[in-house]
Amino acid sequence: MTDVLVIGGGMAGAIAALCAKSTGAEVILARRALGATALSSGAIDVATDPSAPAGALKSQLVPPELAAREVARTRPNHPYAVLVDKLDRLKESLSFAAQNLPELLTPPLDRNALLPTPLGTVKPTGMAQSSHLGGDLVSLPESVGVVQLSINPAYDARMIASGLEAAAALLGRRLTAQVVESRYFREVEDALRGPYELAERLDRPGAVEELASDLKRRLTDSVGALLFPPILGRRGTSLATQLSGLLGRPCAEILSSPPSVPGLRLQEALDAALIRAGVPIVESEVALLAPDSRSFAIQGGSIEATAVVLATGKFIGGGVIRHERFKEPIFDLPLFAGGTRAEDQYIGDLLADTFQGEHQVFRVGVRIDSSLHPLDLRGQPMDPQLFAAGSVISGYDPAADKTGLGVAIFTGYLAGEAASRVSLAGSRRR
Amino acid sequence: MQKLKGDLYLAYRALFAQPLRKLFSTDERSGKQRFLDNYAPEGLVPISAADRQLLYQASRCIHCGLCEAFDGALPVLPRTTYDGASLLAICYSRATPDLPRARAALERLSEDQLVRSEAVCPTRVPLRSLLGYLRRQLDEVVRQQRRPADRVPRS
Repeated sequence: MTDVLVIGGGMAGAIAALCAKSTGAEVILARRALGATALSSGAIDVATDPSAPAGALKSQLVPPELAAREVARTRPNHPYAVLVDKLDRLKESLSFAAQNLPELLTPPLDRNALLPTPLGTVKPTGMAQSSHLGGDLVSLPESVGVVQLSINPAYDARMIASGLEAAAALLGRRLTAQVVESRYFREVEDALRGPYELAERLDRPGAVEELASDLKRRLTDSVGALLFPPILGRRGTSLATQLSGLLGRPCAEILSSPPSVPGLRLQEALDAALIRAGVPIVESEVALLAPDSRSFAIQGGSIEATAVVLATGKFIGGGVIRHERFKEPIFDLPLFAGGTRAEDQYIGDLLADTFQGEHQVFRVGVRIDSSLHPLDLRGQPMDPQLFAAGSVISGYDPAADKTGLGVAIFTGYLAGEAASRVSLAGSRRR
Repeated sequence: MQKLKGDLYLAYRALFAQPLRKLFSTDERSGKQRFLDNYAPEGLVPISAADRQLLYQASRCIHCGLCEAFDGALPVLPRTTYDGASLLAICYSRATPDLPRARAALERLSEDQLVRSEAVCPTRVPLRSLLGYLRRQLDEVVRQQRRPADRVPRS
């Protein structure tokens, strides 16, 4: 028996568990595996202004909470819209996440930062890992070096450099970016190593000093800041700070695409925070033992919870599956996409004609009320002690809407708090 | 017109050519056996229904690379031999004729080295079962390739 069972261990589940624990509940977190948080860019995208025209980067330099209100105003199915009455607590939830991951995350930013991506674009970001923040396009100096590892053809520093110059021009500022090649990784086998292995190699004693000395030979004084591939340490973000000291100029990481060292760093920092807080993490599939109960089969045994937070994610996390039809596999909750039932919809009808279009399939999820209770077909809460958080909630595309981890933190925080409140109230009644 | 021609040809094969061929053929083998004799030496060996289910599970791999972050074999095996657990799902299991090329990796990998990789896999690819399947298939491919050539009649 536990007060709160959190199902799912990504950003939403971890924040829900941490929040419930901080308010005095006994919490267990169960997850079947790692999910989308470990594959994320590593930055916390809270909200961008949806009404800004494409490429209008200046319009994105707004406080993330303001952009979230604009999202709520223009997208009625978005979780920010459903929870609009609670949006004044968005910054509080982001601060809670930052406080629990002090070794990794900066406090919430006053305005979106524009962080460079490996595709040569910039991503508006409301909170970031400390190793990323130095890459903010607004604060970069006029001359920037983009480090290219000689053994890593998949990462194209030239494309990133030209993308940065183009993005800076859109901001109306002058910036020149040049490629700085590093031959630090030069073993034949280095060319076959993935980003996790390269990051681990940089964690070895003396490695960062050797990398810095290799770069010093190739750097000119005019380069005011250096941007590195997202492999600056598997365990933490201190390598960027060390490199800044060794090279005498700001050094930062570019965001990542999967496989993502910063994403895994974020997941591992969440796991460490859960362990610090005393939340047990159970790696197991979870199955409901009986309908209308809160008893679950878990890791060969069973567990009963007073309140449950469902934070199982979407397709990667397994919160929504599709075998001929869409299904929420634990509670068999009704699923919605764009305000309509999703279960039996033909997947082709949920895809847009263009890649950049709005693909409703990525918005499939459970519908919630303003208390984060999943709703049944009549729009009534399924169970007053069941809450949903993160991308299992319908109405937003975690990647394309650029609100992914922001919604995860916000809904996780509120769901964890609400689950703790109802479970503790139940305990007192007993 | 093309369809009609195709159907007529198939009818000719089924009603005349094949029965006549069967009547005068000295080859006692069944069609399935002849198929296996032709293709098994090239590495296309039969797969059981259970193994087909395993391959279906392997197809869930999204090549996210998370397994390789926890791969116990990567730090100890030479990269020229083994390049990560996701290869089991997205490469080795896709083409049995190429399995002999993966022999060194399959022989040196242990299930213990894949425990953590399997546990973190977001799509639950059963990496350890897949390793067992690939080893069985490799044995079968090697066995078939070692069969004496004179067992396969030449037409």
